[in-house]
Amino acid sequence: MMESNEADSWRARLSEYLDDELDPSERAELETHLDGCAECRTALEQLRRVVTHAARLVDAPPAEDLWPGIAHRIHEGPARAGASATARSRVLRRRALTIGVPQLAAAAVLLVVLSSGVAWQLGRGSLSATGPDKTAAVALSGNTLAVSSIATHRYESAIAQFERVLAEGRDRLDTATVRVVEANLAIIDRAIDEAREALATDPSNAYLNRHLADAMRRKLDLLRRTTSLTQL
Amino acid sequence: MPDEDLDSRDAALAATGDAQAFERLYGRHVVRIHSLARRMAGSESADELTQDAFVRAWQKLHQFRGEAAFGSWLYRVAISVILAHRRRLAIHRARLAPEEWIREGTPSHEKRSEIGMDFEGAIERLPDRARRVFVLHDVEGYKHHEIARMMKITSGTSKSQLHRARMILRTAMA
Amino acid sequence: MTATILAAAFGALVAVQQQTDTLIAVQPDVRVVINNVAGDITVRAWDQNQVRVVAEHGSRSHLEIDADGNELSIQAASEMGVGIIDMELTVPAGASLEIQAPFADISIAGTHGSVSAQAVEGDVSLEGGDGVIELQAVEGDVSVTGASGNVEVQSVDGDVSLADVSGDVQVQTVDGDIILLRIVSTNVEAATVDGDIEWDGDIEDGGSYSFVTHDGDLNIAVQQGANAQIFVASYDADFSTDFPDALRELEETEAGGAAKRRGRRFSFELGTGSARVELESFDGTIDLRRRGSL
Repeated sequence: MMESNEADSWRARLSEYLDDELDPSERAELETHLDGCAECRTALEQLRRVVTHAARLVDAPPAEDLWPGIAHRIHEGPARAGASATARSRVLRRRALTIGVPQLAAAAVLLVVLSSGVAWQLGRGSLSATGPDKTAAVALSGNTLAVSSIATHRYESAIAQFERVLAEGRDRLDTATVRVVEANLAIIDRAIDEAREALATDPSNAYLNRHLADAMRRKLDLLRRTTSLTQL
Repeated sequence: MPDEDLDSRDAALAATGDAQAFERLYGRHVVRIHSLARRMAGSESADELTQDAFVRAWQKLHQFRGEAAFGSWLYRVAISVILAHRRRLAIHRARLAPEEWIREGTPSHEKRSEIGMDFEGAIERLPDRARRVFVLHDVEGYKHHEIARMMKITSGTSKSQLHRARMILRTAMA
Repeated sequence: MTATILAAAFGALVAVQQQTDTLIAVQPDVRVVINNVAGDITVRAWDQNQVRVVAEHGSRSHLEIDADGNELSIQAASEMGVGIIDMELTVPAGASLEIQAPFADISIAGTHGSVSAQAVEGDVSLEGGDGVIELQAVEGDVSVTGASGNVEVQSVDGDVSLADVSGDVQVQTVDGDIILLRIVSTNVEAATVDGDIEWDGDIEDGGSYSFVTHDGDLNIAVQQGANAQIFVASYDADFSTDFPDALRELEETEAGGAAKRRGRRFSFELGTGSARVELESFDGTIDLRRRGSL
């Protein structure tokens, strides 16, 4: 049993091994495991064939000439998204049929709870007062950085509280709205991560400091806006 | 003249509104872009996405400054068009009943070599995210951190989705 | 003011089954408040001092129409679950509107008053409007044409487009593009996280304009003779411009400088530098060009 678990966990790393992404000690351990595990050796060989094959795929042309359609569109001028937006709104409407009051109510209640949590934080920390001031931030100064790091800290605690409640209440929620909000929170998170990574390489960059604080403020804004909208 | 030089010349002409120059660019790159679209999004959407990608490139040509090869630039434009389409489609699919899903997802194939066809078909049947990561990494040669950036996922997710795709595909190779 | 409303339904509750088609006499500047859950809401204007409400709905849904002072309230109600009610309203052109409908497309055209509209899933479109304009959606596109006043638009997962709008403009979305065409304003703020921003319009002397994205392009076209101080900030974005003055200035400030800059902040002046324009993209391209050029 233990051997099988070990094999499973190594098998999960085989692609990293193939791509040379394991550190030397992990690599050595895996190789030791491979010596004694025929199943993993077979899997590795199969994966290697997949990778080789993928790199040798031959491109194929489209079945018909696509240029006339492109020529037509580029002569018409910039495309507008009107048609697809209409189609999308029809889909939206159809889905609305499946949304019941309980889900709406659950979403609303949860978000009210969440928003009061944030409001409490905002009140205590006077977050709005420490929000990054664009005018101040454009002029590069030590003060800007200090303001930004205080703001960042406050945002973090407000956001963390919000996320905790959201995580706790998540299984009670199954509304598409919440999914959309979560997907967009993930987009903002990515922006926050990227700003952080950039800051790590250039800590005194005023733009990056402000950009990070802006991204965090945007995350809080989104949480708050969702709250007010979901109370409709 | 090497293709890259031809590309630079035609891209400059196309940026001034020369549609014939753009058609020549289309001719030199359509096979790659269409194959990318087919592998990333499936046969059914490939034609439309290829056209979208070229139209988008035409609209953005004035931003192409020639520091990278035109082909690489066009590729990035195409990937962003394809990934944006996937996001829209994901939203759309989430709204359809499961049986509608299955109908939508049936791929159609063009003529390819036997093993190639099986393998291409197997790629098309991969779960969406795993397929996109696999195509970008193993077919197109992007790194995990680049894929993470394009697909707005973490590098860790990119790695695990790649492994997932390869594990599924190895059975298609058997 | 309150006493002059001529309404058969004054202060009364009207419950209607299947189809509603009713006329309510109101003041020309009536405030119309609409609450719906799902179904489309269409509002059009006419030159009569009446509100006409036409609605289609199932037998378990009905409309509650309530007039109070200069306010007319129209509320969708349902006995079970969420009823779908499509509403078409015709209101006096001077009416102001307040609409809340989580799962609905909202379309408004021809009114002159202030507009507040909130959808969660659904598109919001407005043609006209004057005064305070506040539009919000979570998942949906928002479009505004021909509005004037103070326009504030927020979406989350959707595009926002404004055209031929005058007055202060504030636009935010997270995953979507922002398109601003022919905006006449001295105060514009547009921000998205994952999307492009396009501006094609004049920069007014003394105005303030801010265009901010994280992962997207800024395509900014302004008039040839714009007077503005331009502040550019990015981490990994290319900047390009076809303003000869800007090019000259950039070349002077840095050896080997050209139209492109990566990963930095800088500013330069166009004309007298009267207005303030902020262009920020963390990771995208920033393109500032003269209108009409490509």
